[in-house]
Amino acid sequence: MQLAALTGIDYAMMIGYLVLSIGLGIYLGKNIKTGKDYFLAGRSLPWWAVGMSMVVSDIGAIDIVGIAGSAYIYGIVVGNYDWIGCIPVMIICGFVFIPYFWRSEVYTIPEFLGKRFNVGVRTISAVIWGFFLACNLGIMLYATAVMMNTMLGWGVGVSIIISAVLIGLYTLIGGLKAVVYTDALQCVVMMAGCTMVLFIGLYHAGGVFAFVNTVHDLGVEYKDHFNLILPVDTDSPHPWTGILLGLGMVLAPAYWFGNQSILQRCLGAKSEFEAKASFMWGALLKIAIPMIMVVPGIIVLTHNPNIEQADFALPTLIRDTLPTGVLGIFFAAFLAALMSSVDSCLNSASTLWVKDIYQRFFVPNKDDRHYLVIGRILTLIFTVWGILFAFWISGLKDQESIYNIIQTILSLFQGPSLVLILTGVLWSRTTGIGALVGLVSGLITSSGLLIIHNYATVPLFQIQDPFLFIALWSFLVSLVLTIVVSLLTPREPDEKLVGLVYRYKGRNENANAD
Amino acid sequence: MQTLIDAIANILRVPGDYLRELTLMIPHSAARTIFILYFAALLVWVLTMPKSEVCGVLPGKKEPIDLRPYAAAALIGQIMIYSLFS
Repeated sequence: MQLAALTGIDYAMMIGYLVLSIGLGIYLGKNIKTGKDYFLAGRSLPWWAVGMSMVVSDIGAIDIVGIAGSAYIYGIVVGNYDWIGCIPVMIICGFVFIPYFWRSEVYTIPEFLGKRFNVGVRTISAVIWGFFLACNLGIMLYATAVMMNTMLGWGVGVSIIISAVLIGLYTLIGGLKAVVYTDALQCVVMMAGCTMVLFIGLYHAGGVFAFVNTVHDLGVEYKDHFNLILPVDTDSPHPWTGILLGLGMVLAPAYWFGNQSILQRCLGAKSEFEAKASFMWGALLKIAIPMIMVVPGIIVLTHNPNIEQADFALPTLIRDTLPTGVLGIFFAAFLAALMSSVDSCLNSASTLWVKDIYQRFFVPNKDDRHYLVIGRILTLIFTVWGILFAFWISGLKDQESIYNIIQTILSLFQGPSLVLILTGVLWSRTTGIGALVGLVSGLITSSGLLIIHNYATVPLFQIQDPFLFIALWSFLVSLVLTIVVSLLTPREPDEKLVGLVYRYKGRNENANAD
Repeated sequence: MQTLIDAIANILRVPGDYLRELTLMIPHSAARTIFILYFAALLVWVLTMPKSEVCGVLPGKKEPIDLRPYAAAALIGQIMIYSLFS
């Protein structure tokens, strides 16, 4: 499936976008003097840039194609991941959790957990996130290179090296500030590109009503393509119970309350109020995402309902409908999605390893400029690591398995990770030992359930990909054990809790307030 | 090892299947109501939050800004979307 060759106008648009984006990133890096400037942009970021950066970092280049492909098969139910999977939890995070993260002046979420609980919880969280982000870099570079090869015929190796070097360059020089401002630009380009695909696609489908009627007329198997709430016994991996309880109550909050690559830009906001405002702005932007990314996948059904591979859905629509010039804008949007995810991953991986591992265990009391140098060295190392990891994946026979393993490791961690944040911020009685026991038991539960599901003669869960339910059960086990062990162990002193627990002012003050 | 895994799976399947049967009995209209009630409950929570937690002043502005209308707009959007597509 190779698209029609790009014309000079298309290439000019893509190159223009790349030059603007990278130039902006490098320009913003010129005033960086300390580690705080590099990792938290000197806490100078405005709400609008942080909000746009959060939204666009959440969407990778593979998501643009993958979401449309899933929508082609399952319909609008895929939109749940951006609607119930983002908007409510972003609002809760902005009003409840962000004030405590921002005020505690931490650089990373594991650092916050270390302040609230103990070094064990901090280190386990940091190592898991650090490992995931580092591996994810290579996966994103490789997956996007494959997509460029499929759609444009570009070589995989060349695509990996060029994208890693360009993104690595401005992230290394500009740090978080460069990442956030280039993300804001990338958000505009990505949304514009995807909106164009939506409107041109709808035009070719004969308008909104003709589009809906055509899909319904395709047959009974498409009757749920415009239904966000699917029955429990649906054939798709998105029954409403999994969406509401697994996604809405566990995976989404775990992602938005604890993902370092999302929250780091909020920690760099100018003020606590701007950090909150960025979440409200992000939530409003998120309303549009399924419209411009999910609906195009369904539109493809109206002119080609027999595509062999779902991931060819969007490329087919683009090939068949976009005129010259507009193709260049779409590919600029595609590059924007790639760059915004990879730069966030790179910057956050470097921050985690510097603050939670290097500074915590090896060199704790150096001048802040020292950590700036180490941060830049680590960014360079992770760029090279990302390239090597991407090439390693490209040499594997079963490439999909490594991607699934990495994604599975993260999903195993989500339930227990959410318990740490929820009980840490919302309940003053949670103790460090309770949190550690809850974290470890949650990880054992999720790993155990996955092993039993995969290796039992009859699979444990009745749906093929039960990650939503594994996250839910590991969350519940972790929550119960955290509460029980916390109640059985001595409570934490007030000086450790004030400023880190929601509306907690100390035992005496709270009693007086009551 | 296989026997042990199958034995654990069989034990866990009992409560799992029971819960699945229970949720299968919930009609589609009730499921839709649960989703909408979730957003509505959040909307009420947002609108009743104390001003001190939702208001602030941005650089260059004199008047404080209240974030509640923006959060409410996002949640009302969700209620409309889930009412339409279900």
